[in-house]
Amino acid sequence: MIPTTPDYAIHYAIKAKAMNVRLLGLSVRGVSALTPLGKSFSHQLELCIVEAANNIIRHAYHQINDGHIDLFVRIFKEYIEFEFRDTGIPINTSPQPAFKPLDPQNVASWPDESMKMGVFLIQSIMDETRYRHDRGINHLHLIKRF
Amino acid sequence: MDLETEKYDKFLLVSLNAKRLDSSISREFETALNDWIAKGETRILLDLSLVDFMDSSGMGSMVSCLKKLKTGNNGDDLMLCGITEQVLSLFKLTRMDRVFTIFDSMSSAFKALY
Repeated sequence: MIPTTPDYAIHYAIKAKAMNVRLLGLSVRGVSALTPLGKSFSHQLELCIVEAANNIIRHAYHQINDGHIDLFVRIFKEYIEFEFRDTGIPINTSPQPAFKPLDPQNVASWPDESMKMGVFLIQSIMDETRYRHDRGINHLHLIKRF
Repeated sequence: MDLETEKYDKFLLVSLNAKRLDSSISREFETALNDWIAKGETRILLDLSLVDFMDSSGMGSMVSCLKKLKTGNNGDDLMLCGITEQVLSLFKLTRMDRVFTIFDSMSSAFKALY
């Protein structure tokens, strides 16, 4: 993507707590109305942002309610970009077991632990996901094209 | 989190009076469902008609309870009704619409179960 000036830009800063993730999600739902994406996509964007923020709380900050999450939302003519920044533990970028749809006929095969559904949802809904760790800050970029 | 229950002879109806089933309440929700299962409830109909947002933690709590019931006797189940279009999109993306028994509404659930 060639960097250009966004038509709209907004910055959210929250303490890394579950209740604040709700605020983030609802805010993104509202901001999405500035895009040509329809209502159903606004809801899916909200879901992605909630999943990403929850993952930061769970994995980067290990549920310790001490961290902060910054979310930058930029709306361009052809896409919307979300950039998360946090100062928690870097993402493990080595290949991880992926989410697999459950077999309705084989209950015993259903996992007892996390199904890794959040990452699957983000990658299914967003057109592009990019991560980098730079000088102690995690940057997660999520892009949805119109 | 506000849960209302009503006991019918064929199932326990649980209505979730919350707009969001997410990480803020999913543990409490799962605990409540598990408590009813521990008390002997084997068929639960969950009314989600007020829920307009669900994330993977909410889904995960329901899957956990469904697994518990499904590994019991044949016929034990956690059934869902009143799912909104937005929440249904999560079920379809994850193919959980093939895993859960889903009714359009409470009335269609009652028609099917009686």
